[in-house]
Amino acid sequence: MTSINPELGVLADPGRPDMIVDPVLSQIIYNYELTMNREMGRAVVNLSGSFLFVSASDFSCGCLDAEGNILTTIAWSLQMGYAISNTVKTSLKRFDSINPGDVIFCNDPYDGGGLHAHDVVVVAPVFSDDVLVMWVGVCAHVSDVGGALPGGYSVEPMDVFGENIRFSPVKIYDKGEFRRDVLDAFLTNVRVPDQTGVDLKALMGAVWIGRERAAGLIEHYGRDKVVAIHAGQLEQSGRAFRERLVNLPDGVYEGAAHMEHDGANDKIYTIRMTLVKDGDHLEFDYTGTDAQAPGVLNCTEVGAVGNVMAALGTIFAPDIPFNEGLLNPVSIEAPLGTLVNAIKPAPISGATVYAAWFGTDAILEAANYLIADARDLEHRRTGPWGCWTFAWLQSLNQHGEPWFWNVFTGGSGGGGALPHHDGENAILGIQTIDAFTPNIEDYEQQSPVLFLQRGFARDSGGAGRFRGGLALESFCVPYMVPGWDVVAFHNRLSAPSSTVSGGLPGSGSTISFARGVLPDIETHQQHSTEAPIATYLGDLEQAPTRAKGLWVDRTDGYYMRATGGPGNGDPIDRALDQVSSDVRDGAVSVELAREAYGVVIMPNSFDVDEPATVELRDAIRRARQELPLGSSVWPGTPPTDPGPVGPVNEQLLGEHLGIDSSGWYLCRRCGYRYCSNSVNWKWYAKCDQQPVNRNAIHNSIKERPQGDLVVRLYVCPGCATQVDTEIALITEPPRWNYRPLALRRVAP
Amino acid sequence: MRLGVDIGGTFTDIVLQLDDGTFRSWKVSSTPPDFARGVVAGIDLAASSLGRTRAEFLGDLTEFMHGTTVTTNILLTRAGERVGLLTTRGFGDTYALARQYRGHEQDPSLVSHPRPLVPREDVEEIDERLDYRGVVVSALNERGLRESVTRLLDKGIASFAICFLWSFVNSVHEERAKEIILELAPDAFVAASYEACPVMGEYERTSTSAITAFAGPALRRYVLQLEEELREFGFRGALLLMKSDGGLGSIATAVRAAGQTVYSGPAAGVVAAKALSEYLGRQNLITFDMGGTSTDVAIIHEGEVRSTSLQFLERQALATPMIDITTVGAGGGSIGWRAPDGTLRVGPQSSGASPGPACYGNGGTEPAVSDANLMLGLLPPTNFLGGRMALDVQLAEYAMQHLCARIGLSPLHTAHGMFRVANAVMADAIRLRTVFAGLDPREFTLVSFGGAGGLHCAAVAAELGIRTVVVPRMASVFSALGLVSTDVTYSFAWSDQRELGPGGTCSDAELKEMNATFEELEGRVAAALEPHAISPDRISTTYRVELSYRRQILNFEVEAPSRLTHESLAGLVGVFDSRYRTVYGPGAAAPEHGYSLKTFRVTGIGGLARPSIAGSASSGDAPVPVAKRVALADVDRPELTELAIYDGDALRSGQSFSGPAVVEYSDTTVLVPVRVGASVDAFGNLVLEREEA
Repeated sequence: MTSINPELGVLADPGRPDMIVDPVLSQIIYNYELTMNREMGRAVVNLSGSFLFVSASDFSCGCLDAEGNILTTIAWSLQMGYAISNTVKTSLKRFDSINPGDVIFCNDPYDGGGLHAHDVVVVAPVFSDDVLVMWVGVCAHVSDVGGALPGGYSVEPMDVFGENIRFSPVKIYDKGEFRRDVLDAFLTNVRVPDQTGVDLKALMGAVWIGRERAAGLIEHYGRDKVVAIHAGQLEQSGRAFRERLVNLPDGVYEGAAHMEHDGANDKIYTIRMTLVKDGDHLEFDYTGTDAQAPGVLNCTEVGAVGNVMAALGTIFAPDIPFNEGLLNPVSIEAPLGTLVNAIKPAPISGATVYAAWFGTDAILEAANYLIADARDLEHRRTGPWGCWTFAWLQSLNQHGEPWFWNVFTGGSGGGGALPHHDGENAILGIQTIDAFTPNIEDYEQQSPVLFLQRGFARDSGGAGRFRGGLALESFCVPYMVPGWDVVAFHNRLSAPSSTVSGGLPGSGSTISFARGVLPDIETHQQHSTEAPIATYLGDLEQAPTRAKGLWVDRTDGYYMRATGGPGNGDPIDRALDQVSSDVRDGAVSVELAREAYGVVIMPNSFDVDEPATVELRDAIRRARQELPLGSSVWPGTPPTDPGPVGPVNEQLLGEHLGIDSSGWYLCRRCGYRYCSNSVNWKWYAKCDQQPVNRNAIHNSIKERPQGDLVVRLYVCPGCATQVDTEIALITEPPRWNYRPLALRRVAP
Repeated sequence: MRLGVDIGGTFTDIVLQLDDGTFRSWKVSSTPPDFARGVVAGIDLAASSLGRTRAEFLGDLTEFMHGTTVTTNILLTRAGERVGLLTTRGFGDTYALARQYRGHEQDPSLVSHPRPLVPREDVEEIDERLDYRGVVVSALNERGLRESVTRLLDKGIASFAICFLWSFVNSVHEERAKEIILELAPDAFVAASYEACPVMGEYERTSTSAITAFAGPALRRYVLQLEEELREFGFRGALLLMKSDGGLGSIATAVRAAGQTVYSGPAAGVVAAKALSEYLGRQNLITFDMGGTSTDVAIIHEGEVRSTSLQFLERQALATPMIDITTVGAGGGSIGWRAPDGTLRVGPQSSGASPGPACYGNGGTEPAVSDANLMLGLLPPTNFLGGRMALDVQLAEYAMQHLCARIGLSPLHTAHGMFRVANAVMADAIRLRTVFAGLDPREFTLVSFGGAGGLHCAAVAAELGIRTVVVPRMASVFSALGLVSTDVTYSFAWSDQRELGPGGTCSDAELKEMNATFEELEGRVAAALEPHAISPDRISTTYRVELSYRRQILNFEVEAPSRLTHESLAGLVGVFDSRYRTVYGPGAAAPEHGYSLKTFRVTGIGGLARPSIAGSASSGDAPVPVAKRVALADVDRPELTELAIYDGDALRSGQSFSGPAVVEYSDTTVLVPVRVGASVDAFGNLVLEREEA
């Protein structure tokens, strides 16, 4: 039984009178604060009317304790929810005094801001009798933050000074007095000061409401009790996660994620993640991540931590209140000067869609091996979900007003397949928990665009025993204007995501143009009364990875596809009825069913030709048996196997991969032993290494002319099951996704 | 005589208003899936208790007003019609994409889109396209349409939903598609989005049309059968259905817009509260309808029921005008459990009607809110539901044991914790709803009806700073009471995006167009009211416009004159300005940007003749407690003390007493906590008033 603190009158943790671990009040106040965040979110939407807020929900709201630890948030992405804490913590250090009535404004990712300068953070302290009790804050992607290009993302290498206007923490209300001069100083730097001004007022209105509500809470329960409950909430989340960690197997787990093209050179940039799980502690180590890029790929430290928070809030602990207590049993190593912790003047305008997104992907790969053994977590093993491929389109709109605009469909990637079901179609990122997407009518109302199609792209889901979700694809044309000036940004155009347990990656993304295939719409209306315009979709010209000044004419079609979700498990283990129903639903073509899943579908009935399928799948297995061992694929000699290191416990690492009780990597399907836990099992698995292309991953993706990126499929020599997949630079040895803690310092 | 019949999941409630204005009420069991059987049983019970035959009784009825959960049940159980959906070519996945709503789900293994009511294979894309102005870009390909419809008909599909892009601006293609379907299949049910919900946003329109096509045929079968039976037994009056917007409509209109009957039952309760607000003279009410699995909350502000044009039921978007009812997953059956961080949670899982809370003795093993209430002495162990059911404290305690051990609290603290958490969850929902509407809950009176609300209403009110709670005399049949308090209502709206300058200025030509819109809507309202043959002096028509600042989307509906002038527009935006300032403070308003005029709405209310309700105050003596029981007296303190028990059914108007006390009615129990005074008003309602410290 819990003890009672006589002064506070509620149940406290023995020995910590400043901290209340009260299961009832804690829950009541948590709900109250989450409700408050929703009220603030409604104010952001209502008061601004920004397309980004209303139709895409691109903002977060949060409550924080007096030190600036996040207590609750509703958030477009969890990274964005966490970022609010950066402004509070920096402000506490920066200002000589924080006073009742202050409201602080910041958008500098290098100095107390959110993930990128587009995300303006507005926070307000909440006082009770001149004592700082807590903070409320909002972080929102506002209409414009100036800089060289509309949309504010740099295309070519550029330093941060040219990217956007940035304000380090500044008081926009000082002791209750509104600083019009501060607002004006900001707005003079932006292209659309009216709309941006309305956005910023909305953020201030939201914070105002939050502060009122928080004051009501403090008045109701008393200052000391609220402070003690907050401390207890952080402690409770941390403790719950710590308990969970104790039950996970110790070890060193590695993963990686790849980004492409720095704006000048199309080279691969790698974010590396090593999870070191030791007892009740988990370290997230980005060591080995590439140095910061000259182009837009980087993020600052707030992104490195945000990525970790996003993984904690989704894979590890979605059922524990998302607060900063989750970080109690965690340490984070993000080397300075790398992609995930850039030093000025590295450009960071694209942080949210590059390093502060892909960092989570690297964690996901490593985490899949760590949580495979935990009954309460293994069902969340998934590869990375969608990422952002987007473009800023610019012209006058049909109302004659200056217009620039982002088509969101490129972010609507398929969800990763899970161990027990297929990935969701078109669902954005794993961490975008409060995001949604606009209606076609929302777009067309205010933009000079006519959509001809928007739907799920057939065959785009990564193959696997469970299939990745389909990507969203859309096809549209300039409407009532001569054309658009386009700035394009791809992700995963040619560098696919990781997968789980031998699944294959989903499709790459694309922005492409169907040149001159359409008569302009007026001609169409005059001459073709019944012809569907979508039939004009012709040969597609792939846009460059990153480029500005692309022109789309009114006779051109504009095609965009997000990424497909990665598969989970060996594709030729997929149940036959699932493949046939995929074909029936239009998710998978007859051709892909044969090629990727080894299933022969009869073209008219869509039924499975079972004898032919058995034969085909056998042939695929026989072909796999012919593959060379990994040790003969890579240059150099394979490491010698000195035998297992202890302590040894049986452990699952994937659907068919595990460690047996004597410390050997084995195939759990046939019992084949690869090698001891002292060396990477991948040297002793059969390996099919191919450059990333359509044939290798059975999905649309741009082949890299450099041939620098490969996909490696690992097959059990015993039963020919495809047990694992790896995306890697051709020059790098296989990633050692799991090794014993004792080998932590061994270079792989 | 007017009869109100409200079908709920468990009971069918019947309220009869006699010609002298007095009410009689009865309760019978509902008889799913054949709900009409329960209705007839109820009629027989009412007739026999009046000493009449069924035919005599029905023959004397002028109106039969009906609230039904048929539509809701069809949706919840997904037991509707197989629907064929027609969309614009290229957009067959719009419905399944569902704007990627994932409902704040963090767990990747649970993330999903709302599951569509129409599988992808029953979606046909049709060649046609309009632009945002309603201009035809691609003509309707009628040959292709016929092929698509035939394909669906060949699968045995007889119910259709149509949603084309921009059809709310120009319905020409949807109208033609509907004609062609009916030409190919004259008996088909067709829900076209331009009729089901002519508003912007193709996903919401598609979802609403699909709901209508999914539930409409079954609703039609049900009401036609019911009407046939009533007529056969001699009923000659009008059969009217309660719609989600709180108005009554004819069978034909209700079936055509089946989506508009989803909140038929809960809406009736809110309408009853509105009637209550009129005769109590209380303008601001929050309705609190707490049942077994959930609690419904709605707002009446300045005598008007707050409505909304978008709701989600089981994640299905429904975009029709309706009473803004928020449902919270907390009720008497909600289960208490320990979250991984060690905190105590309540709901949304519920023990439901079966097995119900552990104390019901029907096999429930997990602790529900009712179990906690029983342990707190709030529910009568032997006299529950007027003695019809016994509650087992030991079973409740046994169910609670495991939870106590897990969260480290004593049984009393755990039970009290569940009571508080449930109250807080409901208070949060009310706070969120009022704030979304720009209102302050402290300016409201809480009206509690529904079986489980009486024990929680005073505590929830205290959380919200609400001073007064009213438990209506006929709380347990309140929805049915609402039916006989309702008028025939039709409301038509037109979506627009019209810009007004600062001060509400516009050109003469624009003014003319706006008035033409009102005229058009007025015509539709009149046409809908016409078959009801209500005399013109009892019809009142109201005109409203929805305004926002330019570039913002916070809308307020403002009442307008039937014909706009430049002067009246200036007045309207002035009203808007002052409403806005009171919510978000003077700094946030942006009148210098001008205004957007987004929706025109005309509502016609045909008043049905009904007798007035008279209240009578009697002596102010104090009632005598019938018993004493050890129970929770102070909602904030986990202590049980001896308090007075009153027989609610024996209380008389004018009587008053102070908390702590428990009032037991035959169908509900009310907690009057310490520092709260209770009195019975002239109409027999129990009024709880917080006493100032």
